[in-house]
Amino acid sequence: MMNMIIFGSMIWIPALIAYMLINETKFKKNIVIGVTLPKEAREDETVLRILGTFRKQEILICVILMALGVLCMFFVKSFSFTIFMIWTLMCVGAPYIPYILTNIRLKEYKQAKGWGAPKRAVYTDTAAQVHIDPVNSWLFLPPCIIAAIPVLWDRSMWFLYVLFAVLCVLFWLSCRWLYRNKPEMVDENTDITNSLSRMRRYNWSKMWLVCSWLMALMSLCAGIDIKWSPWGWIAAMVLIVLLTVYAIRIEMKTRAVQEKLTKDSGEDWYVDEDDRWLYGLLYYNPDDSRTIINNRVGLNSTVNIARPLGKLLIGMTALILAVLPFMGIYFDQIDTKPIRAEVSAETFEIKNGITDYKISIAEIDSLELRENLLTNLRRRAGTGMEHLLKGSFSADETGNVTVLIDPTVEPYILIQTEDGKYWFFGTRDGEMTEQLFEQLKEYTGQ
Amino acid sequence: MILKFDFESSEPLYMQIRNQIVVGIGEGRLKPGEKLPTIRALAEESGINMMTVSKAYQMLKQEGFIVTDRRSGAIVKRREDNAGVSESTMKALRISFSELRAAGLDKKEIIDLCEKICEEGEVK
Repeated sequence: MMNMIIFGSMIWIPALIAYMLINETKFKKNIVIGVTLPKEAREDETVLRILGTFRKQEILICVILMALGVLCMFFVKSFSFTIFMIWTLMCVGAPYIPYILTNIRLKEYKQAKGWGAPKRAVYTDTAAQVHIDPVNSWLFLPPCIIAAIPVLWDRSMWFLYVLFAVLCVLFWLSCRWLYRNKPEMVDENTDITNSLSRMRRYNWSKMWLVCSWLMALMSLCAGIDIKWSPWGWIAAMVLIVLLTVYAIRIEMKTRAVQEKLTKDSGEDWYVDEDDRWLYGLLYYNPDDSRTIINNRVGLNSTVNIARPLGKLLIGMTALILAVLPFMGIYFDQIDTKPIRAEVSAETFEIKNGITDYKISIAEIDSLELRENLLTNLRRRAGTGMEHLLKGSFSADETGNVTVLIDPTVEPYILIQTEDGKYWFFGTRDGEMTEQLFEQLKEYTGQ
Repeated sequence: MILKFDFESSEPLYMQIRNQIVVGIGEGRLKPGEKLPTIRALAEESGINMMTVSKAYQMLKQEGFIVTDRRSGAIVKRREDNAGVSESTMKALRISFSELRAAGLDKKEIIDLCEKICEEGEVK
């Protein structure tokens, strides 16, 4: 079941990446696969052949990755997370191998044809409109307030709702500061420069505002889920799908406008900054004092890896990707880590990894040995894996309940303490759980 | 008007900014009253340090090519009639003239060269 969820939720990623990269074979701002070429290149046979080969390679990689994902969904029995992380790494990295190779081929052909530009030259249009106002900052306030509203009826998860509100603020900051106010200059046509700049700034701001509203609605969904589960969870899933679709749509819309407005460019003089982009992907310019840079095509931003902060951010990203397989090993290990429990005359203690729950015997109000899980047991904050549930949950019989069980091994012990709290425990050995229950009955006199 | 900054050139960046704006004014591509990018905007757009851009603008202001205002930024100055040529410009002209003579050009060749440059710089 876990395989179905983790692989099934990501099976579409290779197709999305292939779609986005294949889109880069269309000329936008005279750029294709990260290489700036003149207008005559759009009809050049060699260029068209190189781009055609690239498209076929991307489709092949996409099919292979999706097939692997489907196989893993149905046939992987152990080390699920490890295999999932390795597959994710392949999905992220493999499509860029033909991209980089095609970039190199196009650059070599460009040089052979004499289509180059002077290195380390920067161009700027004095008539271009530089400062374009982002969306009004006050528009970020309503989602921030709405995100905090569930605190009114659910104080127990207040930190979650505050976190959503803080994310709204972070999105506002990102909208303002993760954008470089640089005109989208393609050639000497100032009108096109201004149109591209305005369109990009508008879509960038709109995207962050939509994300803020998403956070607010997700917060409401979390609050709704407390009282009307599983509708809150279902609504949250729908919101995530909607945001994903919206993000892809706005990126493709931006690219389409860039393609359309610059379809006649590239005949006379045009901007060529290829010497600053490594393989068309990474921006490296020691002459540029800025760290945050706009991607040449689309809506995104990237970093200048010639700057110390840029190096740090890229280094951290590479490290996270490298660590992914080890994280998979760690999660696989967590799922099967022993659950240890001890009963004495004073305390009942149950541990799993660094999680340690201790209850005073004197505070135990009631005990129950159950063969079945609690009804409608759902996670609020904690771990929910195939062989391990731990953390803060809620259930129909108890409301909020602290859990540490292997859901595949019955029975389970339900404890209520004098303060009204519920605890739901179980080990990986049913007989041991029964023995613990008997010991607890003896010490509590029940 | 397109400004080009060559980071591999031996000419300092502030001089590149200054010279290109002066040429732009001389050739009519930058008209009197036309707004130039602010120091911050030009620095942000080109990646050049703000102090470098500021130095270029200060030089242009001192030489009388632009006026700066905190609200409206930098504007190409409207030249007064019979404003004359500044002393620094005359000095630079004398040096350029001497360089041409040292290169072996005679008076007629120098005048032909000046005419050619004037024709190239005329706004079409």
